[in-house]
Amino acid sequence: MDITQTLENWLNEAEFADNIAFRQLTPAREAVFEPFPSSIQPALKDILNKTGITSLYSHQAEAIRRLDDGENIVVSTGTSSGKSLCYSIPILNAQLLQPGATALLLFPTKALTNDQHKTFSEYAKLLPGEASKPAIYDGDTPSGQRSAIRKSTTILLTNPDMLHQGILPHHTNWARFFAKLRYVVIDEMHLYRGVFGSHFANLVRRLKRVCAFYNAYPQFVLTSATIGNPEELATNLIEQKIHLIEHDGSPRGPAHFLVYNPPFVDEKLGIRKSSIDFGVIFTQKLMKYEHQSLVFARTRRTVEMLLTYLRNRLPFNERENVRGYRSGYLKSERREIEQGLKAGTLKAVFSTSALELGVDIGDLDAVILVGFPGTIATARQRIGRAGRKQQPSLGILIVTNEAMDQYLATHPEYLVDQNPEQALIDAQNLVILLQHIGCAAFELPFSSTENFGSMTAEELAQFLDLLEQSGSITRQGEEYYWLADRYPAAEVSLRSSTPNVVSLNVVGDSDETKFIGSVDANAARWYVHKDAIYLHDAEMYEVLELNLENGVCLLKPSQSEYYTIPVIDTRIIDYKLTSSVPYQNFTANYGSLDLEISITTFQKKRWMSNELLGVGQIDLPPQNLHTTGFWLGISPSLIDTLRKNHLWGSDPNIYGAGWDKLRQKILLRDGYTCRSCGKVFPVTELHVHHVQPFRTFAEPALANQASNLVTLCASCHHKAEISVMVRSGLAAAAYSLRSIAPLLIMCDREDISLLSENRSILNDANPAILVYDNIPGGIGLSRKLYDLRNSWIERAIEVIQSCPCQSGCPACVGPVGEPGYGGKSEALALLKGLRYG
Amino acid sequence: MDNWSDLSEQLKKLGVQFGKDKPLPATVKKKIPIESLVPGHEFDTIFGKVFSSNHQYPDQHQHGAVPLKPFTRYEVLCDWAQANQLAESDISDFIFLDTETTGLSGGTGTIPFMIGAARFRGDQFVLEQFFLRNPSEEKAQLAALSKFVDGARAIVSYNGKSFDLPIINTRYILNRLNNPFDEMDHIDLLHITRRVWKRRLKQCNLGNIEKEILEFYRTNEDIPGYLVPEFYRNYILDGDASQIANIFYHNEIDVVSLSALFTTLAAILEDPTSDKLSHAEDIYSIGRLMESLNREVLAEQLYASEHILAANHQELMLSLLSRARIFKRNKNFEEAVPLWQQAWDLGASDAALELAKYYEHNAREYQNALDITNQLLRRVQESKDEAIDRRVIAQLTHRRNRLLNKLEGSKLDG
Repeated sequence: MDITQTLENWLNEAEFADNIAFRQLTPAREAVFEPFPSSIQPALKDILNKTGITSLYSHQAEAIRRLDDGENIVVSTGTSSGKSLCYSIPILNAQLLQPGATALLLFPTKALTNDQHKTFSEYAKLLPGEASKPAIYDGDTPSGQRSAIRKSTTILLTNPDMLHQGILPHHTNWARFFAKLRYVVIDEMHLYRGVFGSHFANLVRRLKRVCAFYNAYPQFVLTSATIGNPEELATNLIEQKIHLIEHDGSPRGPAHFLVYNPPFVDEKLGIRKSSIDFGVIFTQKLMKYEHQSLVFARTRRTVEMLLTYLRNRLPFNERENVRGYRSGYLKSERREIEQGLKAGTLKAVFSTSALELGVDIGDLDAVILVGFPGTIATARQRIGRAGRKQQPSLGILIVTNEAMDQYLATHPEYLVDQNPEQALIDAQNLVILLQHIGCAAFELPFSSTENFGSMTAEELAQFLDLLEQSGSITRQGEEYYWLADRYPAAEVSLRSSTPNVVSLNVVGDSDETKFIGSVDANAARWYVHKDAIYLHDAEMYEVLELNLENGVCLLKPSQSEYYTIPVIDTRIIDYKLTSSVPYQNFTANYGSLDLEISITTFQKKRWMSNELLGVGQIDLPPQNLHTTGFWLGISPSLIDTLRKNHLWGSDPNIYGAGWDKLRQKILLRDGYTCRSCGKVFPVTELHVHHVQPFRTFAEPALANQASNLVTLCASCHHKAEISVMVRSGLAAAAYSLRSIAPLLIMCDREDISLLSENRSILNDANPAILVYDNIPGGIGLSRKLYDLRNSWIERAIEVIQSCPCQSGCPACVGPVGEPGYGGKSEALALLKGLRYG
Repeated sequence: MDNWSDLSEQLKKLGVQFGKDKPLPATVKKKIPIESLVPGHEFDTIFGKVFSSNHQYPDQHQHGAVPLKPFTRYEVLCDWAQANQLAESDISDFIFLDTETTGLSGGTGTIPFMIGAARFRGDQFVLEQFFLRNPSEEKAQLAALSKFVDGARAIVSYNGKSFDLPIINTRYILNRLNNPFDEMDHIDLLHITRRVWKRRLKQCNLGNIEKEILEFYRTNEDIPGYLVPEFYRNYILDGDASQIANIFYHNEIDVVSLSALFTTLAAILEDPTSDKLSHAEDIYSIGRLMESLNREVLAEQLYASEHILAANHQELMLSLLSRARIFKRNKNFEEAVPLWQQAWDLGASDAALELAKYYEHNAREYQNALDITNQLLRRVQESKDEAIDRRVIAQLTHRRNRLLNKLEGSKLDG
């Protein structure tokens, strides 16, 4: 039975059909063929014919023609549309035309590297003589082979880290290779975004600089998943003109795609049945109809739950037909699973992101995503793995309770039409830039007239002078020479915004530790504070200890039923406006900020349901962050309007008659001492605080009992207010803005923060909502949201409007009753007020 | 960020910490140029001038206890370096070379600010130390070095294969100059020094070899090598060359010791049976070396030398095993068996195993083989040494059972 028939039968079942939020059939598409461009050498044509390639898809032919014309290209077509031929043909052709011509290929994963190495090796065998010599050069390359690779390889497959630490600082060993470099391939370009991408852009600057030393000016070929701004990202990465190729000429079978939204358990509270249960049910259903399926989950824990539940439902003899796939499995186990999928002996595989692109598993009938994987680009790539040649295929997204998931259930067009996600980088982030200028100075002396990428010599000189001041380099005449006894590339991690990193070490049974990776010292406070649950390669760990001074974090494997999120207290110390647009109801502002960030507590939330299970304490000193941000300053007139309509819940409380007297009494009782920090302050700096929030009482008299009042200093009061922050429309609006931001900009959850303040210094003590980059110096995320502010506010309104809950839930403005009350109508009114200015 | 003003302030706000390297001194010190401290001259090249300190030693010079200039041939040494074609070369074809660098990590950012190179010329040992008064003189430095080494056929270094030469090659490429060392052979003395003296001397760095073997002792002008990068950086930053003078001394002695070590190794390896060698450890080590160079007869002589026969347990036992191994390889069991017997008496299990093999497969004296296997098994089993793993016991047990079967079989045959 083909999967179209299966689906038709299946749709007769009410529980299935009734909860399908979206269903689409993309009809089959015919291939658009073109003959080989005339530049292709007969010998290469023969080989391609032998391997079954007798003509090219239109996008492949266009790619080759444009490269022949000397252009740089970025190819952004679907999964398995034959993107790699767009560069492999020109590379092989160049080697036939010009013996010894070389190509550098950068892949973000080992699997992709190995996959392409296999392909190139097969071609190399067929090519006459020794025209083509492909080799992988990475951390796994045995040292005995490295020297031979440096001497003779013409097609070098490696990764950005190896280029950064192993190749460029030793470029003289590769003089032959660089001198003949024709093509640089950057595969899966969309992964080079945010901090990693900003490092990568600077790595490209260094690469081009070294190439220029050998008089080589290679052409660039980039490939990308579908994102919102492929041309912009590619241009930012290589700082050269680039042509976008996105018309996909490859054929495709009919593709069914559906979004399944599990039914409500409690509609008022916005609680739905578990997406995991449906992941199990659907997989079993597909097995019954003898379809092979691949099921992606976000964490290893979910993978294991899926596997256990499904096996429990299967008869004994079928249980081995389903497997889990994740990091931490032995290589041999993984190969076995891949083989099983290919051979058809395995009926279903549950996987984390470990089964990444490039892992060869053959073709499948169906792909199921249990939960939105975080970016639309990834969701599409994964769904795109379904489909045997031109047979019909099925992709299912089972959404969870989370805001982004629920938003996509009501706005599935983003999953199938134009992807709005913007991949952003900022190669000019000062901290990242400084690190790479150091590395570049080590690689080749800088001359005083030289530029660095798009930076002018004058801009560069400021950095060089600073490096000279600090003793790393020395200026002699018109040249700057590296002088320090250091190897700067070893100190720069491409995935970290600062040079200060914390190494993550898992403590094993017998007290030996295993290094699994590192995080920024800044980010460490968020991700790996003591008692945090930390996810690494979809594996769960609990933090035993974080030592910021030594840069060491100890973890242990965990099976915890909850995850943790830090509660962040942000204090704005100072700000500097860069640009500001006034509207009738608000101002939109962008600028730099000095913030003090304290993380004093964290929440434990149950996986999937996001139910709050408890709160823990964190003992870390506050930290200063200098960054960029975008804030909405809300005008008093808008608040007045909202207040009139009883849609403003953020007013300071009127504590009732006799408050002043009562206040004095409490101050006297507490000896004019802050009861939190124990220090004595002048009366003007002391506040009287309601232990249980005033707003939660029906009448002032009940709230104003002496037992509910306590003297605090300004600073402690601020902290106390934050910790019992009563949800208001302002906070609720910020919540929905926060949750929908990933639709517009591709970033990790912790890369941006939102803050709503009732009386903000950003807005003359009026309310403001602030979003800032959680990266020193900023990386363009809040800048982009500033540019896209209208669309952002509109999307947040849609989030709230399309949510069926009564007064707030995790899928729109945050859960009711935690820690105050829901502010759904207030948030909606506020956002609407911000809509048209 | 949006503006470029106050870069250093901004970076500080962003949490960047400077001070990993020593910052520029706040006050300007009085510059003391190297020319006023170290005798030297300027080399003129088409790329400008470079400073060099020149030293000449008469070729009869004694360095510590050793003559500077080889007084023997150096065929074995060249053989070991897989450069037999050099064996007939005149000593003036060899360059003795050592560099002082701005760092130890290698890579394109490591500058050899001093290159000490020496060769025998006429009746002199001529040493030049090409020094960068600042890094912009590098092209001239390399050009001068090329001229100095012109016509030479080989480099002699200490760890130069993995350190000095890759760095020098990099410098020639970066300065777009032809590399004169591309066509030369390279004799790196580090590894052969280790082969010869490692058993006796724990440390085989040049400093220790200098004291223990060459019996040369440096003056207090010397500085430890790890301070070299820091001293040069100080000099570049403040212009005071006082500490550089010590680096000149350090480098000079390194190069001179290199030549003396070459002479010493050449002499020892050309004639290892001479009575110069008195340490059993060294003699055994050289025996092993000769064996690896297919000089079996010589090796056997060394293993049988009187110093070894009078040696302590360990060297004697190893030498007996080695000698027996040579005889076995030549199928001369008549000589091998008593040596194994002797080694077994000293407690060498390997020897017992060899004897068992011999009695079983060559002599076919199964009873003898069984006896020795049993002795060995008993010894192994009684041994408190946990390191003797079960695999050895299993192998021996297997051998014993096989021998028992064979004995059984021969009884039936008989």
